[in-house]
Amino acid sequence: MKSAGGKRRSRRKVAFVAHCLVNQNAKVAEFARLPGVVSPVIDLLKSSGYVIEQLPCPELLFNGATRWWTTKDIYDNPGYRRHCRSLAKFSADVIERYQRDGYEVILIGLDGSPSSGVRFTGTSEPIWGGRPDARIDEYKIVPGRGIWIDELAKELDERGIPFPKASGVPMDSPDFDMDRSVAELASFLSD
Amino acid sequence: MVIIADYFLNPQQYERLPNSPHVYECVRDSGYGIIKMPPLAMPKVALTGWISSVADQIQEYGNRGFTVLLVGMNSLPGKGVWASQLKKELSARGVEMPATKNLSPSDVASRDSTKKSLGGFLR
Repeated sequence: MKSAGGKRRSRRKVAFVAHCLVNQNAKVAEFARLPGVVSPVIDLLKSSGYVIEQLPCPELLFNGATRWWTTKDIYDNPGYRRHCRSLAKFSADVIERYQRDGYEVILIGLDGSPSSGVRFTGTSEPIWGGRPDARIDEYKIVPGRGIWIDELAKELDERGIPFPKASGVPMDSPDFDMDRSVAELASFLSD
Repeated sequence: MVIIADYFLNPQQYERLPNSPHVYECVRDSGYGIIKMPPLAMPKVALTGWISSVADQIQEYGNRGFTVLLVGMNSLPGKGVWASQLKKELSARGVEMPATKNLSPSDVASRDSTKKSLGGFLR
């Protein structure tokens, strides 16, 4: 892109990020890995020239800060999907505005999350439900989107807005490694 | 956690204000999570849902004993945090505004001035 003065300007960029990448307080108990901001991720996006937009956390807003561990199977019900869709409506308004203003839009989710997973989400084996009695080794990471990202994609699709180029930081995976994940994100950003 | 103006996370979007990373860095280094308020160019149609979700979080985190603070910017409309809309939404719920610190351009001019302004607030 060239300015009126003829100087070459890079295209403006915005990253819509999973809420908890900026606020780890939103994580369900035992799944926060840092006290507040996931700084290796946010700092990389900022230093790469991205405006940061924080998506809402549907789980915190639906089940609160003291919720039980949950899986995609449990969240995959009409009420939770309707809740996610209501959040998707105003989030899509903002995504649409940035796209209309010519920004390159990307989305960075939370891989392994039942809601915010982009490439991977979480289920359980055996399927959880009923009396809370979960073990972390029963939480299974499987390919697919979380419910929130799925509903956001549907909302965008219904508006004729392309789903942004997207990836996820796999912080809900048991074998999560920050250095490896940041390197993977850097590679994604440079593609 | 700290509710902050969009300006503090995305200062490069505000040509008339210092392109200062210091508030973000100060909050980050203090171990606080961030809830970012909408940018000033927010589509009006989206504002109600966004403000409502922030109020939900203030209410929920407050009920659960979390510390919730608010940092605004004096030279921006609504302090950059949509202060009147947020206050109205919280008031309708009988919830008080979080403890608030509004900064001026001189407060964000350097790392030292920002730390001096926020140091006692981010307790």
